[in-house]
Amino acid sequence: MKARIAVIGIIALCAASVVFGQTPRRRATPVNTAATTTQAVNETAGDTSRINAKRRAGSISYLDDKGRTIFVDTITGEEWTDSTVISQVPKMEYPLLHALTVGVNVWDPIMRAFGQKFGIADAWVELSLHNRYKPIVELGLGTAANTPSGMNFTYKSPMSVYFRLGANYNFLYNSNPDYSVYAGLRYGFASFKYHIENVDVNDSYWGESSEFSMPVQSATAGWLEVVFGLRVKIWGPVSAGWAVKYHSILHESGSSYGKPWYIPGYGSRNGALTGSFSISYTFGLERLNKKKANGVITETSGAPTEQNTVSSLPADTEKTPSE
Amino acid sequence: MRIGFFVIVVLVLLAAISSCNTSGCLDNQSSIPLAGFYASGTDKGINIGSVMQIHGVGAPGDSLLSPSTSSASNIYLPMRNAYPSVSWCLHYIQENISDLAFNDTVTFDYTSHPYFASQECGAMYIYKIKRVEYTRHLIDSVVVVDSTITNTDIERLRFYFRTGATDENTSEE
Repeated sequence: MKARIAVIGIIALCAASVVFGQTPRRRATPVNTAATTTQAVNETAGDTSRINAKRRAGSISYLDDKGRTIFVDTITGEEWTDSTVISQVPKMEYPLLHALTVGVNVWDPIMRAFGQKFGIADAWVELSLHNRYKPIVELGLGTAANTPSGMNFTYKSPMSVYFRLGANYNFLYNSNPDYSVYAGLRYGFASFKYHIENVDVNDSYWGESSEFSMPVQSATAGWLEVVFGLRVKIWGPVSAGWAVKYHSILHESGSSYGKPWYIPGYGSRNGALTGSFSISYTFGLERLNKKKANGVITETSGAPTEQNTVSSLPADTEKTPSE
Repeated sequence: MRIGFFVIVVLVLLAAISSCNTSGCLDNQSSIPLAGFYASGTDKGINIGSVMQIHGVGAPGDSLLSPSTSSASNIYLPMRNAYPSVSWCLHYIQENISDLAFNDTVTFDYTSHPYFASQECGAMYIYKIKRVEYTRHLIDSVVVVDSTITNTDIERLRFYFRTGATDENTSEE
């Protein structure tokens, strides 16, 4: 009896191990039926990204005047729009480290030829990121010596250093980098000295006159500039550009002798608008970027490939600044 | 062609920017206090030209100050930049009070300080009034509205006179 029970128990254990311990096994001899052949096709029949990818493979594309990618079927000539890319952020055509530009602003020397009594020049360095964002540093020298006609004083400010920090935004970031239309912001700061001499005060009623000079004053000032400008290539890596600037003093040190007439880098305080005119030289930085491996084509879901767009470059090349 | 375009743009820019700069002095080119003359009872302005003559004590030839218009009730009283005080003599020309005995004298003591106002207004002295002294024949009081005298064109001194309430020489302010 005990032997029978033991045999039944062993059989039950074996059966349980077969039922609960069974692992899925690869089917060695699959059976292909009509249903299994079309199963994958049917499951993905409604997948828009696959449909569009297939349509894009047989289409060319172009950008319309609103910046939308329009695909044209190469067989039927039908135009269609891939809805999955409509709200997509435009792709950066240029690499992160695109170019380094150094320039000289000759606005003040030009204006001196027109009678301006202040300013020397400034130089600047601008880093182009994707040809779109362009942080910039400007460093300059300024001086002033002015005896306005019909006035009773001579204003002098010895040579002082000023700087500006800021960035430009290039609106033509996916276009030819030889041309740029940009807007920017700058913060400028200057520490300088000034004095007023040969002040002649006449009082016609009392019949008295006196002359005096004010002691040298030390001052600091900071200001904000809003810039809008253009730049174009004139020869090889050499470009020229001009900009209109609206500036406003943010802070300045006080003096009991009055506020300075001239602030290096800002100019005279009687005007909210000024300008700049620069000659610049551009160095390409494309060598500093990681290059894409040749022949590797990546496609994100729903996004158009570079290969079937009319305006795109070959996959193994990137746009670089002209040199 | 491209360079020519840029030259034209820069020239237009120069013209635009130079035309946007402010020019001209909107205040005075020296620090002269503007004094208003009022009837103390009514607070109405007094027509200076028909009531009194004003001259600086020690002025060359005792020359008179002239108000800007015949009906003006205020007048500029220039300080002396080489001295720490200035005195003004007020001689009344109305009937019955035109005697020298009724003359009033106002003296201001002050300090002066060099000041650069702007390129357009120039450099000048500014003054800080420390003390006011006056006789009270017809003057009721002298009020210093702002003791710092700059080139800003506002009334900083007010002279109040004892006058009749129906004085025909007072004017509405």
